[in-house]
Amino acid sequence: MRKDSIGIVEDESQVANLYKTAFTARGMSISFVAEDGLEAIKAFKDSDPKPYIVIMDHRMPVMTGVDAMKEMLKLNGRTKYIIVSADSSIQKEAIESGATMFLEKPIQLKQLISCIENLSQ
Amino acid sequence: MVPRSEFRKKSDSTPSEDAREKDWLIAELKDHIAVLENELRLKRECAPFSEAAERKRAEEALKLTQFALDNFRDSAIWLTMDGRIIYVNQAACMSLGYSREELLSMHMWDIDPDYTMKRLRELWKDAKQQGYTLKFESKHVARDGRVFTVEVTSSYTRYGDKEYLITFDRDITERKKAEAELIKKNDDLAALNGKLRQLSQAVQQSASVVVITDTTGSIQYVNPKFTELTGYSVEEAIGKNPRILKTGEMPPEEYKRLWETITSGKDWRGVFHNKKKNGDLYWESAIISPVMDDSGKITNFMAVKEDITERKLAEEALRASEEKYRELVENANSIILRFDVHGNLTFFNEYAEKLFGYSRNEALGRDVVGMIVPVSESTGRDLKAIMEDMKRHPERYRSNVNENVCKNGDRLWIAWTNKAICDEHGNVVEILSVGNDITGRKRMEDALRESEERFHAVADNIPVLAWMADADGRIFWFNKQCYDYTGMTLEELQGWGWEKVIHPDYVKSVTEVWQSMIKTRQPCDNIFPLRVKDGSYRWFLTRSRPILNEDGTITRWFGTQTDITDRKNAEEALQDKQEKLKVQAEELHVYNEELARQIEERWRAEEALRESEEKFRILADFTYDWVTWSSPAGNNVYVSPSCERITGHRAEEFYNDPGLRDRIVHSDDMKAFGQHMDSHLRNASICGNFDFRIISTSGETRWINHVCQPVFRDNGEWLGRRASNRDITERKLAEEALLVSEERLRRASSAGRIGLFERNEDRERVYFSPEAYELYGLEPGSPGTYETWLSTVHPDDLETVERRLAENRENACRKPGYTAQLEFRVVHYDGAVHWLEVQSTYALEGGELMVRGAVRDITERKRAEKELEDYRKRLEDLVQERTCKLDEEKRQVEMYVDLMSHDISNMNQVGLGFLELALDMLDLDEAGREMLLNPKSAFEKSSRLIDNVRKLQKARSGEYESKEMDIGQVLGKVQEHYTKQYGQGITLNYLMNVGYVVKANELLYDLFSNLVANAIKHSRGHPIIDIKVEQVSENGRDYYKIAIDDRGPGVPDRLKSIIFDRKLTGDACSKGSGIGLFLVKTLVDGYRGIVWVEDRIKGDCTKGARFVVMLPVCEVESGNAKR
Repeated sequence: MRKDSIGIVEDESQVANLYKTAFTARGMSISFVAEDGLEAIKAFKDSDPKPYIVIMDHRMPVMTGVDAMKEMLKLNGRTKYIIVSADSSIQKEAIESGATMFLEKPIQLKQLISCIENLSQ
Repeated sequence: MVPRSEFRKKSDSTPSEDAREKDWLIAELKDHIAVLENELRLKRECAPFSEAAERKRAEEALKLTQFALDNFRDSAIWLTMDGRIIYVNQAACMSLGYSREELLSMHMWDIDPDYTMKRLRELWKDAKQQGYTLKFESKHVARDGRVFTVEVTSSYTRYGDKEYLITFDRDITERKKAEAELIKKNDDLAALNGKLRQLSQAVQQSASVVVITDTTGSIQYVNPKFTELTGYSVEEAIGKNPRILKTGEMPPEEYKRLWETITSGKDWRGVFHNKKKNGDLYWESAIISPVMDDSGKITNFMAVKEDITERKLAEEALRASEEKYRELVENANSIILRFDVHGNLTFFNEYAEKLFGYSRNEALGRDVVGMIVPVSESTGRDLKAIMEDMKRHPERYRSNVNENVCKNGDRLWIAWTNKAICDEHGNVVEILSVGNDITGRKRMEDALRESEERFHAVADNIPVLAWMADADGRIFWFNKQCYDYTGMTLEELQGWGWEKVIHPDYVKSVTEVWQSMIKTRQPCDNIFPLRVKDGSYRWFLTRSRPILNEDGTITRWFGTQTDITDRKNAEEALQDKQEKLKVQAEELHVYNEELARQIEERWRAEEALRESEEKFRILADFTYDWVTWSSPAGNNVYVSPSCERITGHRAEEFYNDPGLRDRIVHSDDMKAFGQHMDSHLRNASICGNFDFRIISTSGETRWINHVCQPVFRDNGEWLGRRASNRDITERKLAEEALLVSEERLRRASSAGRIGLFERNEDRERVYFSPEAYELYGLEPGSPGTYETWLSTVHPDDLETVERRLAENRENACRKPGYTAQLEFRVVHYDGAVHWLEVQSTYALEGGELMVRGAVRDITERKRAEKELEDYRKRLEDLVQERTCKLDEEKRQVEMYVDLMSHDISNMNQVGLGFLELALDMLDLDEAGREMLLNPKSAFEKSSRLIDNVRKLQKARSGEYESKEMDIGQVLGKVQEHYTKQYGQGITLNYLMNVGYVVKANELLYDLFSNLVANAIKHSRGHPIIDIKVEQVSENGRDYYKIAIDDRGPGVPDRLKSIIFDRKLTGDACSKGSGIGLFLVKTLVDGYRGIVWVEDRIKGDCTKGARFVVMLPVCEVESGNAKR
């Protein structure tokens, strides 16, 4: 498992693009990009090797980020999750369910990247 | 013969005595025979020649003597010396009822117990010594036990050597009886003679005139009094007819009647007005009686007469005086009564009878307490104790008002004037009370106050500010919300005082609009900011409407003010929702207008009610009052126009010259008046009732009856005092005259129309007064039966009425004197439906349950109640409907904001992210970087804005949990954040100190962060920001005062109060504070704190601004709070 491999789960394609561009520019490898929770579970199953970090939006169609994370943790417990949401009230649930970190929107790109770099070290 | 055994028994002899007696008897008999033999020998010796003839003659003589004795009418009894009877004649046997044989075997004491042995010896001795017969009275007992008196003639006789006592006893019982009767008759006659002598003397010396005539009317006798009175001597009068005294005033028929009466054997009584001999007239009362003999025949007429001239004159004078008194008292339209020191009634006039329902017979002698004075008043006053005090100190109760009770249980309010009546020693003997029924006035005043309170209750609970002004635009009333919003009092706001709360920039334009509105009499809407309690200004939509009376003149202006600040804010914050909000605001206007219209209607209804009450008052009274309303401070708030009629001054003069009222008071009453007015200021709850005098403009002295009472709002707030001043000059003059003569009266208003009814429980006897007929709407002449009455009850109320009647009956049987009240509808014979109130009293009288009651029409009251209820319901429905609508809209708006902020936030993040990447990764020159930095800054600002809006929304919906937070720690985080972000770019002076605990939520960070951001944004050059925290006390509360100073261009004075108002700043503000300061204000309000901006250097607004936040200290355990 490469420490710089990242999975992106985000229903807003432009945000997903921003992450992809920024992370690629930093030399990180993108394991998968998914648009909702179910798709994310499938992509995570298919991925090999598994990503080291998954950055996941919470409020998404079909399945929420935290629910998807719970499923994915069952498949592989080593991946670290960063849950992103504008709703700070789900922070507690996210951390208790196994997220490594919770970031409240709006987030600055700089802040996100420094978080990922801290986790990867 | 009495057997010997019986004889023995009678003589109670012992056997030896018996034997002795026998011996004695034999000896006796021997003696007797010897006597007889001797006699015979003597005779033979003396008359040897005619022995046979002699014996024959002697035998003949003996036989004759025997016969004579036997036929003697008196009893003849011979006794021997030892009391033995040896001879009795026939008469003795007859009178004693014994046979001769029986008597011859008896002793004298057997028939006369007085003949004891001792007595017999005395008798014997007397008769023997005196030698003649003794006469005395004794009593004999006959065989049948009859005792009878006898006259005894007793003689001593000696025959041979034998001695005898011969008694002749005559029965004198009859003679004795006759004698006794004769004595009695003599005594009676003597008594009669004495009496006659007394009578004759009495007549002769009588103080009354006595005249006796014969049956033709000719005078037979006159007593000296007659002469004394009439001047006619006895000689002149005798033989004349009494008509010599006649004056001719008495009609001939009366004389005829007199003559008929006395000739028929009856007494005549009457009064004559007669003439004396000298021609003087005099009055006499006379009784003329016929005098009859034993056979009932009239023999004479006797007149007994008395001079009553003095009495007659006194009576005449008394009658005249009483007539005068009666006229005064009975025709009085006032209650006049007197009671003694025990409280017992001694006088009760006709008006009182009518009013209280007690007849004079029932009332007199009874204690007023418990009869017309209830033991306690409905207000709870102890009237019994007051009456006791009054009896002791009547001077303290010259006038008083209290509740009284009628016989039928009705309670009345009476204004009393009391006067003690004293005897010559100055001791109070009675109290004279003159009362006037003021129940109507009192009820009217209560009703008026109630209706005012109801109006205030409605007005104070509508969700807008409301006010009323007079036709000239002078505001005299505000609803409670006005005071709550502005924090000002009625004194500060009334008249033109409201200008003080208008934003200084708008005062001129608002005043112009206001004056033109008054001039043109047109309704007007206007929007301008008003200062609210905390000193900030809020936008209000003001709508003013004239209220016209029937002839089209303006009597009032009514206005509402709606806070539209929030609406404007919402418009600014959500521009795309503006359209919707506008519609919403319009709806709000429509609603408000509807509300205003309803209040106007209500006000009109109140006005109509007031008018009808006014009319009632005019009708009920011959005058109407000068009504004033003064504020708690004592200023005139309202003066009724009728003051002009009473005082000569117009109402305006009282408004313009507050001292005028006091100056027109009569100099003698000034002190009392002043004391009364002072007592109001000291004690709001006092009700007053007293009389004083004023001098009217024409110089006349007028008496005023002043009745006042405080007016409170529902929440207990004291609104002032209502006083009604009645011109009672007429009454006073009359009263004074009455008190001088103790018999003057006062006029009073009569109570409303009340019908009375009475029935027994079996409903056999029903009585309705004419008013009751009218009130029940019974066709005149219809029979007054229970069924007739029941037929008037509205069909919908019939069941209730019958059920209640049954309950009342049950209660009345358990509790005599039970009273019940019942309200129901009746249908009049013309079809009109009326509400009636019936008050009944149940009483047990002679084992029968009687119901008495009073009935009155309460249709108007019911109508007013219903109207009010309808209004209240409509208002409630409208408020309910409106609240639902607003809730729904709020939910939608929240949803839109949420969706929008989420999406915009995402977009911002994307834009910002790519710009950061570009700046990082692309090799750009300075101009290129500048081009990217600008949109980056815009995105950052937009992000902050969205963030703040979201927090604002959450803060307002109360989504954040309230908890204890330390200002020191929060400020430390803020300092850390900005220092990290700007590095050396700014100077943020804050000495962190923890322990400043307040009740807040996690947005406290945003509050200070926004203020710091604002300071940085508006700083010129290198930003220098100072933050200080201290604990202060204000209005008795502890606060933490946080001051954030900047060195920017400062805030101009005119903007200081509106800078936190997102909406009000707009373009006018040199530094767009954005939603940030609005969020600050919202949060501080939520934390129950205060925020304002001032000059960093006092008096110089160009040297930077100081934002001050005051948050209440949260008291936590063991003094965590900084002291």
